[in-house]
Amino acid sequence: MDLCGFTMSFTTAGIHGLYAVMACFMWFVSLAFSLEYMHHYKHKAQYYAFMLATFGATAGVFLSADLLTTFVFFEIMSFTSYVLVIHDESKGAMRAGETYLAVAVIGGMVMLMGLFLLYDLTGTLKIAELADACAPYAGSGRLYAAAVCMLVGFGAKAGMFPLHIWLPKAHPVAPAPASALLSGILTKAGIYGALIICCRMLAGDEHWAAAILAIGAVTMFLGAFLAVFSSNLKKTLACSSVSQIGFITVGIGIACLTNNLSEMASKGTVLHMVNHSLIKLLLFSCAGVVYMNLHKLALSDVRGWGRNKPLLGLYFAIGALTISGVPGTSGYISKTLLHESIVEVIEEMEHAGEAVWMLKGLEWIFLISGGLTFAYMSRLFFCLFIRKNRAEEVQKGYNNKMHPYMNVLSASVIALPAAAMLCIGAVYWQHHYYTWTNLKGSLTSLAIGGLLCLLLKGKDLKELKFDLEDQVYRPVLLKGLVPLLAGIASILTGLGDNFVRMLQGGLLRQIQPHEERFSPMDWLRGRRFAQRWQEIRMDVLDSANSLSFGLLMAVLGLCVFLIYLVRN
Amino acid sequence: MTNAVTLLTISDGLSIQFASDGLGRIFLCLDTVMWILAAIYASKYKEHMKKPKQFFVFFGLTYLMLAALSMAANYLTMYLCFEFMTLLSMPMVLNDGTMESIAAARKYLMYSIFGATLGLLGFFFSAYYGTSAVFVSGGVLDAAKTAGKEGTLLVTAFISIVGFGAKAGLFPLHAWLPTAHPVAPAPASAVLSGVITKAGVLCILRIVYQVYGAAFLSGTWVQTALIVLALITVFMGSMMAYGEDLLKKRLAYSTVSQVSYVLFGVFTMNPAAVLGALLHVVYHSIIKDCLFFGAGAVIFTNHKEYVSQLRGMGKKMPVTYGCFTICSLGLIGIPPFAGFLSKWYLATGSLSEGLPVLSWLGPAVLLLSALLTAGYLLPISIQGFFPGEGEKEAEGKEAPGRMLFSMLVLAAATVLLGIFAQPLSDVMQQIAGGLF
Amino acid sequence: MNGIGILIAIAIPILGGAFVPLLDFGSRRARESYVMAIVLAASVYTLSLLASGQGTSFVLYHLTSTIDITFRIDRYGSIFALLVSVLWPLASLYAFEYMSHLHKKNRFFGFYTMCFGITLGVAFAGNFITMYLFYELLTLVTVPLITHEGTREAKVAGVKYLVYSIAGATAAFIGMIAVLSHGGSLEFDVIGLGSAATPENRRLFDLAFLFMFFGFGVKSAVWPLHGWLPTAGVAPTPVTALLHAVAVVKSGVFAIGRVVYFTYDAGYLDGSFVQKVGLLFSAFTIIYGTVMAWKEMHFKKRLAYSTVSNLSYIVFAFLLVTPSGLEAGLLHMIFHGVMKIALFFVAGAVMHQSGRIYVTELRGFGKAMPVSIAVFTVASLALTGIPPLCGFLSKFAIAEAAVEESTPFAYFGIAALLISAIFTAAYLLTICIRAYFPPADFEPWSLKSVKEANWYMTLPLVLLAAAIILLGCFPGPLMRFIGGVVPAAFPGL
Repeated sequence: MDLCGFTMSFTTAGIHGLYAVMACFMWFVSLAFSLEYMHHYKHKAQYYAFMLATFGATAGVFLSADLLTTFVFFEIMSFTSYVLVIHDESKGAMRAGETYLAVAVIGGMVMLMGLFLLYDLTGTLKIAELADACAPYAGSGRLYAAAVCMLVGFGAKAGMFPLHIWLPKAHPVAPAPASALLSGILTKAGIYGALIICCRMLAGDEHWAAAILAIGAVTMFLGAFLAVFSSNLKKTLACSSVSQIGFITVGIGIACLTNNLSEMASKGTVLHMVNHSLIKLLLFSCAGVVYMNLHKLALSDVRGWGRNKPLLGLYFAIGALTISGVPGTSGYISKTLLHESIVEVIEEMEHAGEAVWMLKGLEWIFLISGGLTFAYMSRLFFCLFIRKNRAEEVQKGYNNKMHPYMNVLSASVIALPAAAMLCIGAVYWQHHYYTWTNLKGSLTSLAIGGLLCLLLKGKDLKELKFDLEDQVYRPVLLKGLVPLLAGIASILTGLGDNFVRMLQGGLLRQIQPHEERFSPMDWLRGRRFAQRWQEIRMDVLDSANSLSFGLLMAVLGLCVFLIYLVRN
Repeated sequence: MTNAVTLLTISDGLSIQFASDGLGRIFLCLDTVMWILAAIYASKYKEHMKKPKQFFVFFGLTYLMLAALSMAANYLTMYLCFEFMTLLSMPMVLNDGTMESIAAARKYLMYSIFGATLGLLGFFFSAYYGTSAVFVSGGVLDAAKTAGKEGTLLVTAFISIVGFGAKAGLFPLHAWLPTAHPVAPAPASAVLSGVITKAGVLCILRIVYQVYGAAFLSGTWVQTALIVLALITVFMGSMMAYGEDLLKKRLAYSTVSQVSYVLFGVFTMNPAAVLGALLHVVYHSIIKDCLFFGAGAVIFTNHKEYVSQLRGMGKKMPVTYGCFTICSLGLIGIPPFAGFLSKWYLATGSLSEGLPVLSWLGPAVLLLSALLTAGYLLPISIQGFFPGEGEKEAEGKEAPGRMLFSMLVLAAATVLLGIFAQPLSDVMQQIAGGLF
Repeated sequence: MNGIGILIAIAIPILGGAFVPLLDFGSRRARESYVMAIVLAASVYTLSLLASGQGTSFVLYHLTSTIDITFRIDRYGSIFALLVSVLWPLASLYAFEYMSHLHKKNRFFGFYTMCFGITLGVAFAGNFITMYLFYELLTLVTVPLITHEGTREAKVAGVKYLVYSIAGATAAFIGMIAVLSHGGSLEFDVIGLGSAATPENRRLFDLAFLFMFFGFGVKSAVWPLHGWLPTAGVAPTPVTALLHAVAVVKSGVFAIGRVVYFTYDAGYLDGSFVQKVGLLFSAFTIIYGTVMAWKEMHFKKRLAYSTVSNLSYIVFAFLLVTPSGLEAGLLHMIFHGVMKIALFFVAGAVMHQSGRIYVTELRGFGKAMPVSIAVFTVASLALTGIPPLCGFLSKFAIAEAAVEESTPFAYFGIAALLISAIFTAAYLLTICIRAYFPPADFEPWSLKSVKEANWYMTLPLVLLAAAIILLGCFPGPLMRFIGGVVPAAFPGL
């Protein structure tokens, strides 16, 4: 299809089709839930319009078969989802939207640079051809440059460190169904791109894989860490997303390291992507139910609200268990796959006699992050559904079941992701997934998490003061880089004008009427003599008129005289 | 150029000739369409002008000269039309009659005449060292005569291109643009930015490709210097626009930056880059005219000139702001709007040309500028549509129908040309190829 | 026709003019008719001479066995004579109206008309002595014209002019004697120094050339000898217009041309040190004059500095010592004369009708004096060098000659030319902007009393504007006429 000046191509093979279907499913659930959620909201038409637009764009991203098409829909997706983020138009929402848009646009532009470089290098942007096209350039600086640029763009959308800053701010301020989509599937658009970079362009590259694993590790841990310290329901879920993206990134890294040969890594990554999408859909919808009824999200405020709401509790529990990787859930399967892929690589490398301390460290971060996941999810669960609210009256209000907290439609659609996850868990209830070695990993995580829970039980954790965006990015950019560049630009732009102004002040200054003219002679002679000089001039002048006529006569006479002389 | 029509032969080697080739026809079409839309817009805007009759007289005369410029077949005719176009467009700037606008008009006049005089230098040398007065793709320089004088000719080429670049807003002669636009009436700003700057581009195209020739200039210090100047302008214009509060001045700086995108493509001397440049000529004209029409509508209906005064205005002027937003997205280079494709070709052309450093630095600067463009255009739309709770909202009403008409046509063009870009791209590719 | 015709052509205005102060005319009409009759007769006669009498010569008087007062009509002189003859009647017509409110008109028109004859004498001079004689007479006859108003300022200007000119002419005289005494020929039909230029004499001839160059350079307003010209701007406009745009200053460049091409020759001067000196000074003057014109706010002084600058265009072109340089210089001599006289006439009309002398006072004159300002605009555009007006053509010709020469000094000249063009636009077009586009707070009634001048003054203006346009678009015949100089000045080419 020839649009936008080039040929757009689409495909439904493999992951393209899978995620297109996921998109359809998730949008269905979200929109159905939105009917109740948005019932009393303003600007409904705008919301639905941009939801659908984002759906179209997201589907376009996943179905695209060449990177340029991906880019087109990626940009559209960024802009349409922005409107969803700022839907509330509160101060917090506008600021979060600002951050979101800035990261999206910057990421988009850098990604475009990467596409330029890639196109210049290989001459093709078709995803299917990329692996072969990039193979001859493996290890070259240009390929790395292209890959880095593209990763910035995709990674920003996915929420990888250090471009994760927008996630914990943007997801909470958006309406809950939109948050579900933002977390669940828009981040996967970024992951999708990362997959293409790591598994098609640079598959098998050790340095690159190491970098990806490092990013993944940091993201994994950081997200979980932030989630533990968060005191806002949706913010915890958002940070949790960051963490899970980290897990997926680690999987991608292992796949890249093993040149796509590790089945466990590939399977684990894709399965975890699907799981995470479904989990976040479920959890954010639950959070949406809470907000719908209470219009509050702080943990201290919503504490104890869910005590007599078993259905919601069930949904939440399914989500929490899955994300923690409790055996029996689909989350366990995906986490185990990932963990085992790491272990497999470690064993291979030990066999080959290479240093494995880094990977071992990675494995431990993996397990600890898993534990942290369990910790904060159980904290949320306990907070909402088990504990009582600090204030007695509030708790009484919560217990009062006057009107239904979610209608039938909402209840049924939220059930869908839960059911899906249970199904996946059931499908994978196979013997080899539950061997002792596999279980060992999961149980280690859970143990760590449980320990942490006990330690932090009852304590109210304060929010972290350090905000990467506010403390580092904004000052460096807005107070450092931008004024510097603006200063340079001002100097440049003023060069011509200032030069002219300088001339006009000095050399080219116009002599105004009646202005005293600068005379070198006066300056040389000094004022004392100027007077006398004037007088001399006056005397000479008075004879000017007669002077010339006299001269005329004199010259004529001289001529006559000369002729006379010469003649003789 | 074939079939040149001679209007007047002044002396041996000096004649006024006209001919139409693909390049000229494109510019003529662009001029005409923009002029018609601006005229429709101005027919309503004139209620805000101090001297409407004077405005329309010079408005029409400038168009005449622009059309003549597009059809100019030799350097002399081009120079003549260029000078007259400056003289005839200057009165549009001082229409307001304030001391500020008269000073701005004088500044415009002097910068343009300075630039044209520098361009004249090229004429002196090409008349002597050239084989034909008429423009010929590939250059007209007589190889035998120029042997040994390449250095001098390169200097003159550089000087004349920088001279004509004054009209196109090339650093260092760009300063008239930010001064002239705020004081001129909106339709005048629109055509000054959108069309008249492109006249400068046309002159540069002719000189680079059809007087000196790409083969002569390619790979020399002239090319490097010109690309550096273009990139400096791209950066500088965007950066200044980012910090400017007066809306029309912001758009003026934006023009400075965007036209140098075009010049960057022209100076890279690569068919793909020139294709991108020509596409951007069209895209930028359409987009910038629409943006200026929008700014003018805000001034006309609601008498507000500063961006900081426009919170919530989008809700009061939805159509205006809608067009403004679409065109902003195009200018940033977001597909599927017009403006993405030109950037694509500019970048890929530059990368494939293989100049040291500049090959990748060029696209990087272009993208930085695109970021800044987002920074100075998106906030207008966002604050207009989503002022935020508790913020003071501006009072206002929607612009009148005739002004909206022009804006809607241009916004629709932005969308359509973005999505169905192939036909225009094919035409431009042919023209670009024909220049080498 | 024999050469006596030349003498007649010169004598008519001189004698006719001499009588004017002596006769008592009953009315203004009578004086005007008489003067115009004389001038027209002289013009027509001269033009017929130019058409048919090429190459004739006439010896008036033998001073010594080797030196005599000779007149000759050659192509070079004809060009100057053509310019002068065509413009004098127009200027006289203008002067009638302009001087109608001033005193001592008889004396004025007497000297004015005599000046015509003397200028023709310079043009038709057949050798250096004759040219020198009439050159000095020109100085003397123009001093009363400058000091005509009788104010202190006028007297200062007159004395300054006199001193400068006499000094310059003396320097030229010294150079002439030097050339003569070392075997050079002073006749203008003998091109160059010929065998007299030996390597030993080189130094001397170079020095002589410099004396002659700077000597005649006074009237040509070469820096640093230009000082008299702006000061002489206080003279009545017909004087500044005709004399200081056409007759006097062009005599200066004419004389320099005679020295460069007829007394010396291209072979001697090309590439020499003195050529470089000349090119440098003239190029500098171009820039200097134009910058000073920008700085000056007094209308006529601004135009005077503009003249300083433009004269050096001609000098620069002459000093390129190539055929194209010679042609270009002559072309600019004619075109500049036409353009500058138009500009000065407009300045005079403005002063005459409204008394305003500073350019900042000209707001809104576009509506008050439409014809004059329109002519001013045309002449300004021409002087700036906008095609297809005549000024562009001469600038182009000079530039092409310099490009052909392709030495660094020539390129410096081109740069000077371009800088001058920019400043010319600045100091002339801003006046037009002020006149046509006054600020919004301008009150039209403030110019109610200012009306367009009557036909005596506007007719010459319109004719000059038409000439500017026509000469720019159809310069063919004139260029062919000028081209006829080349065979004479470059024998053996």
